[in-house]
This record gives sequence, C-alpha cells and structure tokens, in this order.
Amino acid sequence: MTCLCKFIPDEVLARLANDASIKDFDRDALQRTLAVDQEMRRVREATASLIASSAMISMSLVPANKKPLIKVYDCKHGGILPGAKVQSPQSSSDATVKRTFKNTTDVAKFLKKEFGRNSLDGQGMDLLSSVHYGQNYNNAFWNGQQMTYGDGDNNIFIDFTKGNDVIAHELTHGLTQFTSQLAYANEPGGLNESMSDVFGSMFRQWQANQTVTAADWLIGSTIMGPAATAKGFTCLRDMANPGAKHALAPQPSHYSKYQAGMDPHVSSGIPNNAFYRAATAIGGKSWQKAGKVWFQALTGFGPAPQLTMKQFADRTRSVATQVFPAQPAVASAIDKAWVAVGL
Amino acid sequence: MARTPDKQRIKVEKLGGFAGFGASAHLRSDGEVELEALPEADRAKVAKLLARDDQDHPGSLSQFVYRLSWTKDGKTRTVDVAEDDLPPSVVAAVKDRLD
Repeated sequence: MTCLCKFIPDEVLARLANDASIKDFDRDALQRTLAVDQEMRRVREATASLIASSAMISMSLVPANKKPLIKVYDCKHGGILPGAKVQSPQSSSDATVKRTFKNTTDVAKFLKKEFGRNSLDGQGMDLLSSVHYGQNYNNAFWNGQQMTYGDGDNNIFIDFTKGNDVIAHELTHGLTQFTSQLAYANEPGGLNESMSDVFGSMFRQWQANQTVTAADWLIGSTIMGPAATAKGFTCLRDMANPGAKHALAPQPSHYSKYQAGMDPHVSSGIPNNAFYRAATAIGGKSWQKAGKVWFQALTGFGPAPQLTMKQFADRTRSVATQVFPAQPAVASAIDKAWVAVGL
Repeated sequence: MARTPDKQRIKVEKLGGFAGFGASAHLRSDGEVELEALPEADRAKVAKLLARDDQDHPGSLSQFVYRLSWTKDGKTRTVDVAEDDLPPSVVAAVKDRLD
C-alpha cells in the first residue's frame, strides 16, 4: 500500500522556524518538531521498504508449511502499539482477548481451508492484534502491520472485537495489501473497503455455516451500542440494501451515484451490493462460488493500486468462466449482478 | 505556502474509521481547539500541519482522518491529517455523536 502522506519540505520548515515575522512561535519547538519528524519519516520509509521487500525475501526463508502464530497484545487503554503481550490468549480470563484470539485463528483457517491462502501474505505470516486500544475508542483498524481494536464508548458502539465480521474486515485489509494493493481513495478505495466487507460478511456466514438466504448481510450488527439501537440503527452497513434506514452509515448501491473523491466507506456500497446480488443468485454458501471468484479477482492478478470498479467487475466475469467452466450460471449471475449496480 | 495562523480557533472533524464517520453516516465527531491554548510542542506540530500546502488524502485503512479547518483574513482553509500525525491534545478535542 502506498502511503500518500506528504509533508512540506524540511528546508521550508527550517526556513519557517527561522522566520522572524512569525512572532508567536517558539522556534526551538519548531526545530525540535523538525528533528522528530525527520526521524519519524526515516522510520516510515524504512518500514515501507521492509514490507515491500519482506514478501520476496520470505519466499526463500520461510518454510512453505509455516503456520501463522496468533498473537494478542493488551494496550490497557493506552495509545501505544502493540502494548503488552498476552501469554496464552486462548485461555485468557479477559473475554476480549480470548475472542480476538479465537476469531483471528478462525479467519486464518477460513483463508486456508476455503481459498488455499496461508495467512495474509501467503507465507504464513503471524497475525498480531492489539485490544483495549485508547479510551472509549470507537474504531478498529489495520495499520499496515497489525490489527487494533477499541472497546467502544459503550454508547454508540460496544467492544469492536464482538464483531467477527469486524475482525475479518480488518484482516482483509492486510490480504489486499499483500495482493492487489488497492489504493485507499476514489474507486480503488471503494473496492478496498468493499473487499473487507465482502470477506467480513462471508467469514461471519462461514462461522455460522449459513446459506446465502439465511445470512443477514449486515456489517457491524453486533457492535451497535445502546444509543444507536435506541434510534433504530441495527447495523453499520447493509450489503443487501445499502441505503437502508436501519444502517448507521447508508451507502449508494448504483454506480450512477458514484462521485470522484467519495469516501471509500460510502462508495463501497456499490460493489458490496453486487456481491450480495451475485451470491444470492448463485445460491448455496457464499464462499463456495461467488467468494472464490472474488478471491481470485482480488489476489490473482498482481498489484493494481488504481483498479477501477469496472475493471474489477470484468475480472470477476472472466474469472467466473475460468473457475466454473461447467457452470455458466455462475458467470451469468455475476454478470447480472454487476449490470444491476450499473457496471 | 499559507501563513500559519497565530491566535486561531481550529475546527477539528474526525472522519472515516471502520464505521465511516462523517460523509453520509449518521455519525459525527467534531470539536474546536485554540492554537494558543495547546501545549508548546503540540502547537508547533499543529502549526506545521496547517502550513501544509498539499491536499492529498492521507490514505489509511480504517484509521481516522482528521480535518482541520480555520479562517484567516476571511478565507477558510482545510487540511486533512492522519490520526497518527496529530497530538493527543487535538484528538481529544472531538466528541463522537449520532446525528
């Protein structure tokens, strides 16, 4: 994943720090900031370089059958990652730790069993999760190296680890990072978010062994807090009906509503709805056919950071005919699903 | 490059995250800080962020983005900043709410 952060050049900052017309600045503080930021930038660049090269190096260093270790850390409501390592998280008395270990382990099993993928990088990389992050922190995120979960404010949201779809969503950001490397803005940003929702929902269905008709296709339904529930919100997003009133974050479901610069969490409603339509038209269990096509379209073509929604749709059309040549109904259902959302 | 404001009130809005704060969501998180009231090191850090002249999205994967807006000489400017780049005193200025 390319980091798009940009900073003003150091020489400009240094000039600013020495600008006598800026009266109210503590120039020493600016100088210190400059030094710290230069160091942080070096660390970030080094980290990005390491991530990019590690996959190639690991090909020769890591045994082909390496199994991912599942590690859980406790931030104890602080903001420093990764926090303190939890020993034996599988038997922890802390339900958040135990749940995170169990669901992360299951996501790794899901990827391996259903898609033949050995962890996020295909090389059995260990999966690190930090829980109890921050104070009343209403979020979960993948930072390029690990997952992080807040406990929620117990008003709008509750503990984010209570969503097995949330955990799979964040891990899928890692899968995307190691495969198609979709950018996080405009159409590839919407696709990136959608891949996480699609695999998040599929994982939830897989754990419950649900068919597409039994599934509710909701995202975040188990992390809604009392204030949100009291207002009638039952989920964050609804893949079956992205504009639904019961969704805390309603989305468009047709490409005609897409606008450049749209937040990825909004535009993802379009490909989310296409997956729902395809999976339900095919029937059975979502991960067995539609999921396999989506997985191959996401992971089987190398890096494509600027992939458009139309390009991804065409990939799935093509993959469906290759993976299920004797079942033309699969490709037909997928084609119709994309057409229905304007792609 | 924009001149950094001296005694300025800065509107802070939290966007994105797993839940998608802002945009079309019924989720808002915002607040204000006074630049002069921030601790010295935080003030310098924020001043540097406000002086940024690029408007690229600070790409993140479910991490929050903070939009800082301020008015100077009748003109309102905004800059989007990654969560990791903001000092805690600014992050703490926003309050999550349903709308």
